[in-house]
Amino acid sequence: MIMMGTKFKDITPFKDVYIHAIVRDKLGRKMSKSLGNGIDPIDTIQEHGADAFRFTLASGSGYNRTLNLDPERIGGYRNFINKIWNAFRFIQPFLESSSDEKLNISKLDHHERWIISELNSVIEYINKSFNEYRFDDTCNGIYHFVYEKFCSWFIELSKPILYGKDLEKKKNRVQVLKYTFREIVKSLHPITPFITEELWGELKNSDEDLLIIQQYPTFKKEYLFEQDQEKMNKFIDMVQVIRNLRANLNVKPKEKVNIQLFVNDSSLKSYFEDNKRFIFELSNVESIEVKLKINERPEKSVMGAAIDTEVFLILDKAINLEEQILRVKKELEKTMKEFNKVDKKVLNPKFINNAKPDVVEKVKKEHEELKEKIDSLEKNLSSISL
Amino acid sequence: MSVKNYQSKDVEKKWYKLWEDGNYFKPREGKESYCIVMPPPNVTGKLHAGHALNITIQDALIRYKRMCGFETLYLPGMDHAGIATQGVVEKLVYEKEKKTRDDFSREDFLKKIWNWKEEYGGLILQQERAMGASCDWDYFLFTMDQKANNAVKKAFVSLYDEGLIYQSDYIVNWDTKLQSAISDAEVEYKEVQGNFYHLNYKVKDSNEVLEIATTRPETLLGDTAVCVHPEDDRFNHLIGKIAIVPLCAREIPIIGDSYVDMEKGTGCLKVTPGHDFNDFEIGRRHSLEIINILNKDGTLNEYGLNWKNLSVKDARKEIIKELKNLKVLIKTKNHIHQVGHGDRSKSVIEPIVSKQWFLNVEAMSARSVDEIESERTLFWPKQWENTFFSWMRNPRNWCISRQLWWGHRIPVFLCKDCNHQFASEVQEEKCRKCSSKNIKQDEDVLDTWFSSALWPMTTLGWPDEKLMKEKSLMFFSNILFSNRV
Repeated sequence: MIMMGTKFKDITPFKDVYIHAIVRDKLGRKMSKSLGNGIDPIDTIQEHGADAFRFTLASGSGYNRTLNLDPERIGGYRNFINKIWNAFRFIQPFLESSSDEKLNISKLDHHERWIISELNSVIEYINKSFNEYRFDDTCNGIYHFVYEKFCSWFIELSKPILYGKDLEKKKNRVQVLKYTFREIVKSLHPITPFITEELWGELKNSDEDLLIIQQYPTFKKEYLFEQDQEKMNKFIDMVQVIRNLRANLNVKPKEKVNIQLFVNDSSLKSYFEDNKRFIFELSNVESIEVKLKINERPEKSVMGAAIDTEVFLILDKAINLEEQILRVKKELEKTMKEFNKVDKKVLNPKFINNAKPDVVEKVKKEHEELKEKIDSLEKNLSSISL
Repeated sequence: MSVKNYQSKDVEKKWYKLWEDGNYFKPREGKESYCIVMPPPNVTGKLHAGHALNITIQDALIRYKRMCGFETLYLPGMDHAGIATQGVVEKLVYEKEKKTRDDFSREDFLKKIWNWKEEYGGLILQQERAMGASCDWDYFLFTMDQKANNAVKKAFVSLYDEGLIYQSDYIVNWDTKLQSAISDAEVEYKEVQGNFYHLNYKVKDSNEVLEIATTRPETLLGDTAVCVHPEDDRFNHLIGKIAIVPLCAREIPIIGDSYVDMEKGTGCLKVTPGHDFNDFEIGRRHSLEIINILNKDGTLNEYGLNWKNLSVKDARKEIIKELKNLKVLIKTKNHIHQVGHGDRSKSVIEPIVSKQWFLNVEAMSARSVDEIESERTLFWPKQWENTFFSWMRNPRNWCISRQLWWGHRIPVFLCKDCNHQFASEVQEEKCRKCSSKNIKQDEDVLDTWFSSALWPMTTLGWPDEKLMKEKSLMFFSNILFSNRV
């Protein structure tokens, strides 16, 4: 084409030539009738929807040579599409009272500044990756923002406000939720056009046209709140550590725990203290004390490390540490036995060479999973052993 | 909105219709144009995962650019896929009517293929819609539409009149099943377990013997020389003398050429210009005779002597037996080698010398290399440039003719009375030189890739100036998608 184009029109017909990946089955083999490993796009669309399929293909496309298409992945991304749908269903009743007004930056609280700034960062990232044909990065960026930051944290933190009595706060929060969701569907539209166009119908103002011709989100300097991002990300990390410590000690969800936080500097100390009530909302604690690292650490406690923060869970009569240590040791023993069985198989060349490829694949997967389990049990054990 | 789980089916149908009917896929005036010409899928095609990937990322880019304010066009098309389509229809006709294409006139058989295309072809277009492809369907073009044919004829005649298209006896990849030449790109190399057969050729009027090793002993029936390295002291005293080919007793010259590797093998090469690519070049260099020992279907012709009409496979077996008996075959060694197979027919490719049409790509490929080197066209990821360069620097001339019916017929006319040959964009009735009505159009069609190569221009109206002005986009498709260069 380049030859003919330059011959007859004296200009090159393309600015860019993008070499895309070759689709293989989940084991990396060519799809063929004889192997029965083909994935029929039309069947996939019927089962999971075109958007989930498109997202899967795009998330596996960048500069890689092959894309191993796994039906489980398509199912996984279908769950992502559903999550977006459900997040919208949650917000929708509150949108009825919302206005078409633009976002008022001066009225944003800390969490709102955080999510707007996180969204802004992702938008900058995905514009860049689109222009470099890194569709995998684009998909990853949006996925993590929507799943973790927006759904797991921002919506959760918004619930008390949305069900609360402060109408002014509620109105502001709804504005931010609406703004963020609008930007999310715009960002996702090129990859998952159908669901986003459908959701846009409920999010748009009456004078706005269809999503397909709306302006794509771009980075806005005025929506960059780096300090809020930094602080909130430390907060999130700290709460996750509290949750991990609870899990490692097998603390039941309804049981409250006592936490002490040791931080690097006084500004972080003030921040955590100002936001204590959110720690209570998010992790079922009885009490929280925030101290500087120069102070003495508590006895009879287990520690987890977060960004700039040591998190101590105080051991009291509610938690029988010896029992917990024994429990973890037992599970570790059991898992190691299972692992050794599988390990023997994987190290046996006769098995690897003679068994059917999908059986080998299954065993290898099990091997990986058991290895990971042992790893996390060992970490668990060391975190609760004093 | 009270539905708990997202129901994709209805939503997808609804929105595709609203987008298409509302003209949302049409190019909208914008700051810059952005066009992606969809690699036209084969008319025989059913959407597979590879297509789905292609459409997903092309459509994602188009939708992105559209939302960024570009005047975007996603240009859909469909390819006639010469060999593939003709093959499908030939198979169907044989199943239904127990007839082959030779039982029909060319016109009638082509009608059958067009009928098949109307009924079954293009299923893939509906499937592309199901994926959400935001194409402007008004621009849709089929590679055998009249507009496409006009572009092909214009390009061909232009290149022909410039002297870049010529006929030549050339050694080509012959697919004995399809009975057509195929391009280098359509040959798949597979590892095959074979043998090196070591044969003794006698030197005329001498006791000396030359040991030749070959994996294809049947081809000796087409030998026209034996070659040694001029600096090889074992043999160079024999250069200029005569050797005798076993079985057919043909007397052939012993020549010297540095192509022979003195370190490998026996140091003596049998030269069969009619059936080996390297031997063909040697034959050119030394003006050797070209002997063709095969029929179009891969059986031996009269040069096959006692083994005439046998397939290559069978002839080889018998010939080996005979060579053993005559004590010409002195040893056999196992050898694994790469053998070319037609990627459609899966049969072994036999290099054959035949009259074919070629396009001299020397200047055009140099220009293409320059486009990449000057970074007017970029590869993503960048390392694919190297594959491109390995193909485009010093390429062989392109064999553009195919012995098929389904395709763009080569627009060259031959006058049977005065032998004048000329190319024309119109259906000629008279010879341009002597005005005789006794003229015939060339029987062959063009390689599908000839029309595909013009596609970015054809789809935007070329060579019709009026059409090109109407299309608001300049000829500048932004990006080509491929899974290999």
